[in-house]
Amino acid sequence: MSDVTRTPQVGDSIRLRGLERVIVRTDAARNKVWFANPPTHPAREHGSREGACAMSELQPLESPNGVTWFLPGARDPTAPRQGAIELGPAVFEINSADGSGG
Amino acid sequence: MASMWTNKGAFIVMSGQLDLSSAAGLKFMLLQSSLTPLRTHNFISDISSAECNVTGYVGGFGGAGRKALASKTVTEDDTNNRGVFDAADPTQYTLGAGNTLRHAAIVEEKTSDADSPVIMFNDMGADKVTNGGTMDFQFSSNGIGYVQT
Repeated sequence: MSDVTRTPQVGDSIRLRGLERVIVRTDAARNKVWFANPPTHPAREHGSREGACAMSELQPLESPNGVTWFLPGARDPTAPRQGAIELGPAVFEINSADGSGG
Repeated sequence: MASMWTNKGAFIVMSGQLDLSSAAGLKFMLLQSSLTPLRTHNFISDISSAECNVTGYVGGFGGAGRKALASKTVTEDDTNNRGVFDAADPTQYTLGAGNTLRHAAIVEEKTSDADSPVIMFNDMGADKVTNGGTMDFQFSSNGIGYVQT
């Protein structure tokens, strides 16, 4: 159990679904943190994974390099559970931004 | 039958009224096969007549059968050209016999079912009959929903 009591800060690591990212912005009033691939990550080659999540849901995990944050219960998509009912993803297509009508 | 965003869901996300990564009222609810999801379903009151109603599921506004989404994230996926919404899978249900389920809905509870928008529907792929046993629901490896550009 970590005894870290501070809130997430810019530069902290964040581990989500097996991927390591770094916090690039926080906004406590909006209960939100934004994260991105580490600076050394070849994002365009491997797919950028920039994103955001709720600050209040992040839990600290102390590591030799400082504090790493994680979201408890976040799923590992590569390990589906046996017998679970899989729910299809809802797709929202935006294909007419150029005015072509899709 | 299909998974889909509702028009209301697309609108409130695009207008900035709903932040999927941090909204506190986002919940998961179960729906019977009697409901045909429509993109024009706006509020929970449009679909609540088909909500699961067997033992082990407390429906209605604030009911424990509607489970709050935890560990919500939105991420950019430059490989597949998507913005992806995801969260932890809902915890396990134990549902009494008597319902045939087909869809789940992601909703944002506000003050009542009449003003709580339906964001999207997720298809179970086939009818699922409750029989008193446990049921686990798992979001797709592609996320609960995504915006494809």
